[in-house]
Amino acid sequence: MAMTAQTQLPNQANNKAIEAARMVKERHENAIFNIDGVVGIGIGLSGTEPGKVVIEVYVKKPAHEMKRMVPEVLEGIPVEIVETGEFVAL
Amino acid sequence: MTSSIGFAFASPNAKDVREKHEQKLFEIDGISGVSVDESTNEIVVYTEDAEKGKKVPKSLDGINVKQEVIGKITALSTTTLSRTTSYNPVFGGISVGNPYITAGTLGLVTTLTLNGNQVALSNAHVLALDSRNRFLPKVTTPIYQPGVYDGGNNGDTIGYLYNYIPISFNNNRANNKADAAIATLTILGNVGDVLDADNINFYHISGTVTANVGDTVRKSGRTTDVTTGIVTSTSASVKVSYGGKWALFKDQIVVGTPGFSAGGDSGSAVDINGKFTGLLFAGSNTVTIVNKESNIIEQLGITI
Repeated sequence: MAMTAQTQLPNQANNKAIEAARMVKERHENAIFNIDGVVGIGIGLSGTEPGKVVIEVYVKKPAHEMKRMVPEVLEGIPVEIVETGEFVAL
Repeated sequence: MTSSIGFAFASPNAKDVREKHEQKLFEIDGISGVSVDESTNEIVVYTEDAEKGKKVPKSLDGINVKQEVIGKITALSTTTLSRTTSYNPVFGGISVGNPYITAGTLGLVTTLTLNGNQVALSNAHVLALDSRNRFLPKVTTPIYQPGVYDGGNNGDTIGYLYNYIPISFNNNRANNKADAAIATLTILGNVGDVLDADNINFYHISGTVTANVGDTVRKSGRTTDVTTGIVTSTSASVKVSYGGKWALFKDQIVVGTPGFSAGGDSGSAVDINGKFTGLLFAGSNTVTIVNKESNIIEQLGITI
């Protein structure tokens, strides 16, 4: 039992952080979508800080062009720009 | 010198005689093989049946020829299955579509919760939308397997559009959550069976599971066969282009592995260790977007 509890703890913490980030994302989603070049917004894990929950902004323009328009932080949650390109139905 | 004398006086060797006559022996109809029994210095001829063996000489260059009936030898080859040809019964991972689009993937054969009837699960834009992204009539729209792009036509009808989840296009406030539809089957299907990576065997999908960030997911699709990828987001909102229209989707799974999917894989069932977790429907050059199972199953009235 002790083992199980230990292995589950990081996951629970993670789920809590994801849920908190999701609520922040919802509040800012419309504004983010209004930025030209944005094609999506999601919750993921940081590409640079292992385990850190971030808001991901998916863009179809080069990330360096989008950096000026996309906020770096939303209510304390870091924002990472992900250069996905346009999403199309496959 | 000694060796050459030895050769000159040696009795005929079955191995040498066999080599000399092998080609001629194989020209006789019904010969399956030729060998040598070194213990008795005899040539062995394997025949399809005793009757055909009658044409085989009793001896060659003084070497006795014995026969063994072994039947016809057939190569033990396994045929790989093409994902773009027609099948009966049908299964997951093969080409499908309505008459007005190119082709997508039949994700999974599953059943209606209501009556247990078999249905084929795929995307709405594969089964239920025409080329201008207008919804087609239920019950009367035929579904071809394979899709038109892969040569499918009226003769390849496997069933009819039965139900879909409506998509609101060109709407900033839309709350779309799935691009999913089902078709009834007028031929048999193999419930849960999905064509595996070797295009010979099948894996089975049964039950459902919620995807989490970091999970490895798998799909079997018309274009890129079986691939695996890593979930990088589970509550994404994305704007998806539908050739002339666009639609906003919320609560989506993002698979961040390049090469996980390509055009024609739409409708693939995505699973984690054999449990259904979503329906693949869109992507960019680098990521794939998957509808969550929880936004599909009850809405379409199916059981997985």
